[in-house]
Parts: sequence; structure tokens; C-alpha cells
Amino acid sequence: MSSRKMPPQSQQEAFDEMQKIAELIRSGSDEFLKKEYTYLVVFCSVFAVLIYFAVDVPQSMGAKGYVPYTTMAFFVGAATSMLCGWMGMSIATFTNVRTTWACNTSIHEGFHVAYKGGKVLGFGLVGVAILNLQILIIMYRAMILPATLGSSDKDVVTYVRSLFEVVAGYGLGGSTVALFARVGGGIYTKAADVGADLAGKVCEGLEEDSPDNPGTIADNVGDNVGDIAGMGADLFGSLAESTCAALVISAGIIDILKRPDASYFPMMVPAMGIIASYISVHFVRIGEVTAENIESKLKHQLTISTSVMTVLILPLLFTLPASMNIEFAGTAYIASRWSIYACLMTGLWSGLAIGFTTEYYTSS
Amino acid sequence: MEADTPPAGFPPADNSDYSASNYLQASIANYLIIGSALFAIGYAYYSYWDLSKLVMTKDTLKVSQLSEEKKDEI
Repeated sequence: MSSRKMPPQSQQEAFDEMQKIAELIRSGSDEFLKKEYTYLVVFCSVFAVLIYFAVDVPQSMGAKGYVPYTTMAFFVGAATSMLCGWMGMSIATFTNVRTTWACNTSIHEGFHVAYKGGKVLGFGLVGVAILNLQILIIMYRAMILPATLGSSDKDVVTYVRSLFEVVAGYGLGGSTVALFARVGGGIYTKAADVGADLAGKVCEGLEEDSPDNPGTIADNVGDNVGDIAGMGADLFGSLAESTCAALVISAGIIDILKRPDASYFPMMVPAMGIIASYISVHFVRIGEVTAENIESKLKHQLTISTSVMTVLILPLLFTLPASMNIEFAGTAYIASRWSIYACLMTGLWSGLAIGFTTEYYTSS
Repeated sequence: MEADTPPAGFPPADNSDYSASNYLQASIANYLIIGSALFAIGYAYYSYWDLSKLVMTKDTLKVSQLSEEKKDEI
């Protein structure tokens, strides 16, 4: 068996060791992401050519024809997804070492340092995602919609739906990058984890995540690029996809299109989510965080944000018409704003219930 | 592109009641979406700044001293 490295014997040694390990993880993660994004740029460029010929050319929107509206939206979505992944990875490697350092004072301090890092990614990601989407819609509205929209409800629906369909390229770009970021990072992290365990635990008899095992650094790099950068891109992809899909569906309902604010309802929901999250994060300061209650603290955060969101969505409902005629598969339905509220609440509280159930059955 | 020219393959514009200025020209929604997005980006930056103010020192680090026997063993 190889000789073990001596653990730090003084505060200075420990401090230097901590900084050195953090720097190794940061540089490793940076390098992985650079490589992954290089391949992704090539893939997205090839995919963009396909989108242009498969979607933009047949649709040929605008008098100048063949303007790559969907392709441009795809690129904006892909670039935003990469930005979100990079942002997540950078803030994680920045926060990791600070959390470790703060945990030497107390779990309470360490928790709050880690929580601040989470806030940077959470707020930054949603903010960038909906800001870019809104700018895209404003630009495309000016470029695509004519000054008059035809003479019938059907024409209006056709124009506005087409506008949102090209904007949906944003969601496609986001999910394309998310797929690779999640899978690429996931495979890397698993390979590093299994490799480190096999070499360290099985062959050398070292403990899990032992500092004596060089594979531990690779495992930690994998955690950053797979679970954080990949998760960041994935979160963006889910948000962009679901928002774009809801915009396309709402564009088919003339009662909604006649009330301009109602057309943006799918985007106002995450916008209100930002305010709900801002209110919720202040509750985290209540009480001391200990090793025993750290999990329940996070659960409380989820419950509080869900409850706040339940209330904050209410005023948004009044931007919707009181009743809407929705045609689906040749059948007409009448929906009220409260039906939409019921759908939102089902999704919101189901998400919370699924989270709690999963946690309950996997935590012990 | 000319603003009043309909896209190819779409019904012709005929100066009817459906003025584009009424469609997707939201005010409350624009303020809410852009306002909260900018707020979120600003708050994220504030959290980052708050985090970067944290100066790490060696003084709080806990180091357990190994006994001479343990050192020899290693």
C-alpha cells in the first residue's frame, strides 16, 4: 500500500492546502467546460443550418424572405444556456472553498455562505432567461408582425402563433445545450466517481473522498461540471421550453390575444416567481442552522416559496379574460381564469409533493 | 422589413380593426417581466458581491494535531 500524505499540522498548512485543492477543482472544471463548449458550438452551428433549411426557409416569414428568425432564436437560447451553465460552475467553485472555510466556524455560517452562492445562480439564471426571451419577443414583434393583422380572428391567431413559434427556437436552443451539458457532465462525473472509488476504496483501502486519492479531485470536478453546470443549463432549458410552449398555446386563443397583457401570462408567472423567491429567501435567516435541522431548513424554504407563490399569482389572474374559448382537437371548451389558476396550483404543489416524497424515500 | 407588409404565405393586411399596435403591446406585463428580470440579475450580483467580501483567514481553521505514533505510522 502506498504511503499516505501527512494531514496539515498547522493552520497555515491547512489554509494553503484548502486553497490549493480549490484551485485544482476550479481549473479542472474550467478546462472541462471549455472543451465541452467548443464541441457544443460546432454541434449547434451544424444544427442551426438544419433548422434554417427545415424551418426558416419553408416558413419564409417577412417580405425579405428567408430571414433566419428561428435559427437566431435557437442561437440566443443555446448561448443563454451555456452562460447559465458557466455561471453555475463559476459560482460553485467560488463558493465551495468559502463554505468549507466558514464551516470551520460553524455549520450555521457555512450554510449561509453556500446559500448565498445558490442565490447567485438561482436569481441570475431566471433573470437572464426571461429578460432574453422578452427582448427576443419585442424584437420579433417589430420585425415580423405587420402594422395590420388581417381582417379576422383567425388571421390574428395565425400571425401571433407564427411569431411565438419562431420564438420557440429559444427553448430548443436551451434544451439542446442542456442535453449535452447534463449528459456530458453526468458521464464525466460518474466515470470520475467510479474510477476514484475503484482505485482508492477497493484497491488502496482509502476512505470515500479521501484527500490521499488524486481521483477525488476529478470526482469533485465532475460534481461541479455535471451536477452544477449541467443542472444550470438544464434548469434554463426547462424554463425556456415550458414558457415557449405555453406562449404558443396561448397564441391560439383569441380572447387572450385581445388582452395584450394576457398574452404574456406564461412569462409573468416566472417573473412573479422571482418576487416570491426574494420574499422567501429572507425567512432563511430565522433560527440557528445546525447539522440536525439543515435539511428541514431547506424543506421550509420550499414550502414558504410555494405558499408565497400561491398568493402572488392571484393578481396576475386579472390580466386574463374572465372566460376564454379554447379549441382543442376540433372541440370547443370554455375556460375561466380560475381554471388556469387551478392548473398552476396543481403543478406548483405537485412539484413540492414530488420533492418531499422523493426525499422521504431516498434519504434513509 | 416594411412594417405593414404581411409575411409571405399569410393573409393580406387590409387596414381592418386588427391593428398590430394592439397585439402584444403590453404595458403591465413588460414592466413586470423586464423589471423583475433586472431585479433578479441585480440581486444575483449583490449576492456575489456579498460573498466576495468574505475574507478567508487561517485563524478559524481547526487542525487536529497528530500524535507522534500516528505520524510514524503514516
